[in-house]
Amino acid sequence: MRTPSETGDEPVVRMRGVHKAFGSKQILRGLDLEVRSGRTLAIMGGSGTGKSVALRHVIGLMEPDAGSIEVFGQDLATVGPAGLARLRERMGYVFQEGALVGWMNIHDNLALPLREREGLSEAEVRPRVEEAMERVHVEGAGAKFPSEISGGMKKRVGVARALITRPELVLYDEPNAGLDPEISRSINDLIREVSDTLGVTALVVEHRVECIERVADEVLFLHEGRAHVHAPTAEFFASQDPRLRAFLGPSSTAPSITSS
Amino acid sequence: MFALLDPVPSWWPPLLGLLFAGGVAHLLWTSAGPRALLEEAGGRVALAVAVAARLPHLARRRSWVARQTYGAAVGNLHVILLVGVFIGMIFALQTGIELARFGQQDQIGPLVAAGLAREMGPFITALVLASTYGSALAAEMGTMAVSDELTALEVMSIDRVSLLVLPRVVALAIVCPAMTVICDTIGIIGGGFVASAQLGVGWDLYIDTSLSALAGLGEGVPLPKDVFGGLFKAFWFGATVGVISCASGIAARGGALGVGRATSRAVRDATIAVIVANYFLTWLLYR
Repeated sequence: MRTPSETGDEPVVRMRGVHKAFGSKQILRGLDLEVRSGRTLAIMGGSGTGKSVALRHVIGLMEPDAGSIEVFGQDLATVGPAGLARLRERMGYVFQEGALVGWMNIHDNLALPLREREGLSEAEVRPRVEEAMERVHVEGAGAKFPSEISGGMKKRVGVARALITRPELVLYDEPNAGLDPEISRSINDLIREVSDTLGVTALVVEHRVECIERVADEVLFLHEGRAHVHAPTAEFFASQDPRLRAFLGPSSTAPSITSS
Repeated sequence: MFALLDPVPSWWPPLLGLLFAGGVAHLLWTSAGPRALLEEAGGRVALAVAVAARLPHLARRRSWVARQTYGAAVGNLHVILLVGVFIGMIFALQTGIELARFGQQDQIGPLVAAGLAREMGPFITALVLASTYGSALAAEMGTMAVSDELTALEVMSIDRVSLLVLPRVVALAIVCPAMTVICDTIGIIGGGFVASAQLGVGWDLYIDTSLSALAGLGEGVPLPKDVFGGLFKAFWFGATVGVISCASGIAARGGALGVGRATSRAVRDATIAVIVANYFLTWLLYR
């Protein structure tokens, strides 16, 4: 396995030898990965290889059977529920389908973490919500309910909700799933813009090459529960690793791919 | 037929034991096993404790409590009215026919009033709320669970019990006694129709005897004992239905099928819990 060059920064996320099984099915078999501050790492791999499982471990929704996970330098196994809640306050999570609360309108969905977690007044909440809606280009949709907006808008609002508390680390779970190419491009541009302008660290689970090319600084190819290839984006797509080539197919060999 | 059971034959207690054991075996067979059953029961008790611990949040949640209370009350008022009036009519007819054989029709009012206030009003109201509002709560929570909405709240470090469960449980604990009062009232009126139209009891006599049966104040309570007892039961029934419905929904897994199972389980378990709680509350109040 190859690893990206060291940048000297302390990793924001570090997974070491993580194993996870569901019943008799072993999903992760010693996964190692690191994401450094301000960088965007994409995890790529086939269906059922444990990409989303890895992401859920990072935010403490799942506990590994073996191995360790450190986020912001703290071992998740030892932080306890209160410590995990504090760590989560520094993170944002974008779900595949947005996971917006169905009985709240878009404004209230975005305001939810500000009201519930940060205890802000309505006067403080309103401009933050408006700013977030503007950032993801859904101005004017505040009074609508999630069932009244398109899948692409739900994703955008999901991104806005993850960012509204100004997190240091954002986790994206298949941000392009179920979207047409045009909306996918706009979501990818949004993720890149967020990383560039806000300087957040990001972990993106994705299997679409065009998304990864656009958003990732480095890419990890997950195969049989392990990091099979981990390299800067341009180097990753130029790799001649047979397993990776078999996964990417003949259309993804173009050497013109550039890292953002 | 009952003469066959006098005296109680020796095979009767073992038969009852066998039926009970059969019921327990069926419950274990249809569930995922005794351990899963215990975990499920433990989860519900833990949720009830978590709700109780968050009662100080009520002031902050008052608008959500008001919304849920309004939804539960207004959405089910017609059901309670319809069920209540027919329960009163059935009760009056059943007791009236027997009492008429002994020329005691004027006792229909007290029997219907006391029966509804003590037992049938809170019990029927709780069952109606479990099957209508409770099932809707379980489906709502279940849908939130399978669509990652609950997980989203968890990763945002938002207290889901305080935000979602507390207002719903409190709303049911408010609505169930309020609906019980309506059920009792409309049931007594329904019983009066039957008593006056079919059993020859004057309306005035029926109402007078009904009200006088409920008039005696209970010891240490500001209400007639039967009314207080019924409302006390209704409060606990409402809270029980709320906790079980929310817990079933939160535990839902596996898409639409899982939501359907959670909804069905919520109604089944809330019904059983209300019946069991009814016995113990009756014992507590009237021993």
